[in-house]
Amino acid sequence: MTLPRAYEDQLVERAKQDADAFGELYDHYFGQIYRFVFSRLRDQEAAEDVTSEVFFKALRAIGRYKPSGHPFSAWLYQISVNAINDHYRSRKPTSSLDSAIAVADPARPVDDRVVDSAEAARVWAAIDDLPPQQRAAMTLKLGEDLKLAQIGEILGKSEGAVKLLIHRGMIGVRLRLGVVVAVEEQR
Amino acid sequence: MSWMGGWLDPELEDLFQNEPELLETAKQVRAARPRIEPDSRLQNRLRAQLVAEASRGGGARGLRRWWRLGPAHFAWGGAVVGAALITATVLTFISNNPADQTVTAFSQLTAQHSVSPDQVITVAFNQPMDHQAVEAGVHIQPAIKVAFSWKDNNLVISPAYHLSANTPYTVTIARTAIRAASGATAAAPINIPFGTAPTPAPGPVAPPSLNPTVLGVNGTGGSLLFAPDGSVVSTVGVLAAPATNSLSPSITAAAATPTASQTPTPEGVITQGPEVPGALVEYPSVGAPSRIGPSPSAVAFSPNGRYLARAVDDGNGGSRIVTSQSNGAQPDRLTDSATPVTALTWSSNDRIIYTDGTSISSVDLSHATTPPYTLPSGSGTIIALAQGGAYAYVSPPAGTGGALLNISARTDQVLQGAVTDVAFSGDGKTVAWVDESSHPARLLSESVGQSTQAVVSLPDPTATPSDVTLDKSGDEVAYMSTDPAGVAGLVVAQLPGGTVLALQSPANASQLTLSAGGDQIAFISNTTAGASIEQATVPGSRTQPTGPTIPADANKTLQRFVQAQVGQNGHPDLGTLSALSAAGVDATSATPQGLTRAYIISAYLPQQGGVGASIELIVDPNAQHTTAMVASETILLAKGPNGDYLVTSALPSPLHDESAGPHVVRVSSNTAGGVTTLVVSFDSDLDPNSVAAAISVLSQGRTLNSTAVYYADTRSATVTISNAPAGTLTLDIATTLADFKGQTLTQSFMTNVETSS
Repeated sequence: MTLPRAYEDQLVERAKQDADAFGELYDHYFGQIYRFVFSRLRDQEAAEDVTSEVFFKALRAIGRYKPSGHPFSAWLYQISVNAINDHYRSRKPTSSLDSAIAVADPARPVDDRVVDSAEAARVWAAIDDLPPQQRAAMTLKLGEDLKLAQIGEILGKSEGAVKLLIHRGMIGVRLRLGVVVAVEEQR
Repeated sequence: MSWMGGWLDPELEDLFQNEPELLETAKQVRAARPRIEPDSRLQNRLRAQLVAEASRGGGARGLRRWWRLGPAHFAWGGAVVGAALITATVLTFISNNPADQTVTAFSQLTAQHSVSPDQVITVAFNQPMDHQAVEAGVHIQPAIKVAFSWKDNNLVISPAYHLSANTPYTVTIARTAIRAASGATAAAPINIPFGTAPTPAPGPVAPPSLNPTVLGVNGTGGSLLFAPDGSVVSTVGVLAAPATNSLSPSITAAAATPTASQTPTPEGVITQGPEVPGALVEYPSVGAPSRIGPSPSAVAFSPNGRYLARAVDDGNGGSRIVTSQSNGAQPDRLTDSATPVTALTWSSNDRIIYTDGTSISSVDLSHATTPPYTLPSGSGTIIALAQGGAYAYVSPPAGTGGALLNISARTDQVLQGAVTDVAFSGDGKTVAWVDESSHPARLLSESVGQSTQAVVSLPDPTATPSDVTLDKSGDEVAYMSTDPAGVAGLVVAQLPGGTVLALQSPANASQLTLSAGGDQIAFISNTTAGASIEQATVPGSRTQPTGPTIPADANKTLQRFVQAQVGQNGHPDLGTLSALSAAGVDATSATPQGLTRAYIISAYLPQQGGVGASIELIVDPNAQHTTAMVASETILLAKGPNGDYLVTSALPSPLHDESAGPHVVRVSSNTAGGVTTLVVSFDSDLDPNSVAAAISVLSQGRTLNSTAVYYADTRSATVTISNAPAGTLTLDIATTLADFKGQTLTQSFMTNVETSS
């Protein structure tokens, strides 16, 4: 749930001086950021490390944060995207996709859960191989259900550019899944 | 693909409207997304690290400083541990005026069960409100005094004395009071139910002051110590003439002609001579002060309290070591020191060790001496000896970083930044010192010889501590705190953390000394009229009960049992309840579901044996039921077949809505010096005028003489009873007790509490 903008702005201002206010922001956004990071890394330990890094970076930088009309979460996602990229640069994810799927949220709708885990693993492995910007856009859209405009705020792109990233990303996934050939054959 | 159904993202539908195969892939990707809920332990641990980092100025700069009180303000923490964070609730109201926008209000506290007691209550509105109207409609149960302020469209409700810990609250704003500046009104009232964390509440903005009484006149300098019977002894006491109570030293025969001599600090340091000499004078708690000997340069009572050892000037530049009965009678000259003795202590009940600053010697009651141990030249000056004689403190010859000397092993350990302000606890096991290498100076403490120093937090981190003294067990410290402007205050605090028990500021005190139990402090107050010896009770200090108390094992079982009743997420811990219940006791079916917290109000020793306790079980208010529900319960415990305490009876009343008006949340007792004190804690801010008359204490049906004083900052009443009989007392609170809004107790409150003699 998004905090009311006025309240959030006030909270962020207070968090520059008040540890408890930062704690309140943390309480509100931790789950969101953690899930995003996990969806990108699919490794619980790495997700914990990177999420910790995101919030410590946010703490160190919050004094310089200036509201830009975007939600505070956009700023946290920006930090997260950078931290994830840093993580990828330092090492590739080592977890098995199967294990990631195995911890999928049981509260999800049944039609989400009946996805064959091997198929799901293959799909997200394909996203891993996309260029970083496409990967981030795909994850924010399909992993976090963010609006195109929000993704643009996070990635510093226009909405049109985000659409392009997702479009290319989707084609890239299909290429990696080997379904393009099949589709073309059907055509 | 059937699994695609049920998900629609209009933006992607639009993006891929001409490419259904891409849309299909998008749906497949989304359906396959990995989801995981974060580990709550990680979440809590990281939060603690972040907040700690932020408090240190690691980002969110600025420290919030709170005065925190100690165990006297303990609130039992039965609330759900690790309760999931509950997403804040948005309360939405439809305006009656169709021309206006929807009025929304939001509070982050809504439905949370572990709100910090130092939180303010913020209600965020989405549009400018009629401040006066909204404020007038705010109702808080339990009733607490608050101040209102507005920041933009946010109403900030600040409790005058913090929220109570471990307490359910409901903040209500009446529907008719929810009025926007535009005139829009709401369709429903605002209810913000929440509960506070089971942590001790932060103390008041200003912690309790000491309320010292003047014992008498002191000569210049000197030092104080507590005698085993609680009397205060001054090494340069001046007996006032009978005709006057003035602090101006109207010196009697106890005072000699002013001379230049040397007097010790508590650690035995020689300071330059007093202009007004005195004698070793005892100031008893009852009766007149009396002279028990000439002014010594060092003095100490034996561990068993029977003897007094002192070093007095021998007239030849050295000292004479003399012992006597604790009242000064039957003096016995043990030995002479050719050099002046600056500190002495007892290593056992029959051996004294003493120092002249460069060597350490000992003598026993049979006058047998041991060869002195002399410090290597240039290695500093011995200025303090730990009781027991195992350790000494050696101040550095220059700079900072004196050493803790293990006397028998002849090894030493540097105390970081220490110079001369070093104190040992009365049992010799704890040392505290001022680290003067830090700016501002810090107060540190450690278990002697453990090399694990702890920083004692100061109420004013910019202030400089000095004049450190410890109680016997090292659980309590007293020191002077001088701020950058030069204003000094006297602080009594708990160790190792530094939780402030009492503060006297401004204060021009010196030679602080704590009683063995830490419940009394004595000091010399220096005024233009002269130096006076003053003594005060330390509020909230730990005391040493001497009579029957609740057995620790029983208390542990009680705590575990009640915590199991509260359980997790509204479900009692049936396994623990069963394990802690005696055969035939069915606590599991009797315990209500949905509990969120509990109070252990009091515990006592029933005449039939075992242990009894009064409990209040609580279900926090929530959005569906905005009034807290409570059940009263009496628990009895007795030793089971294997010697462990088990619950033999636990019969909660049915849950019912908590009444308006004040409620008792805890009753505790202390007995010291023949005076029994009951501390009765409430959840509401009370009408102080209603307190004294409403509270009475009975023993076996007989009303005892008692006085009750209400302390608004801790929402507690202190009931003092002189010469209370040991055993179970009954506290009776009449329905005339009222909160500050005039709401009274709905029915009289009665509970038993154990006391000691």
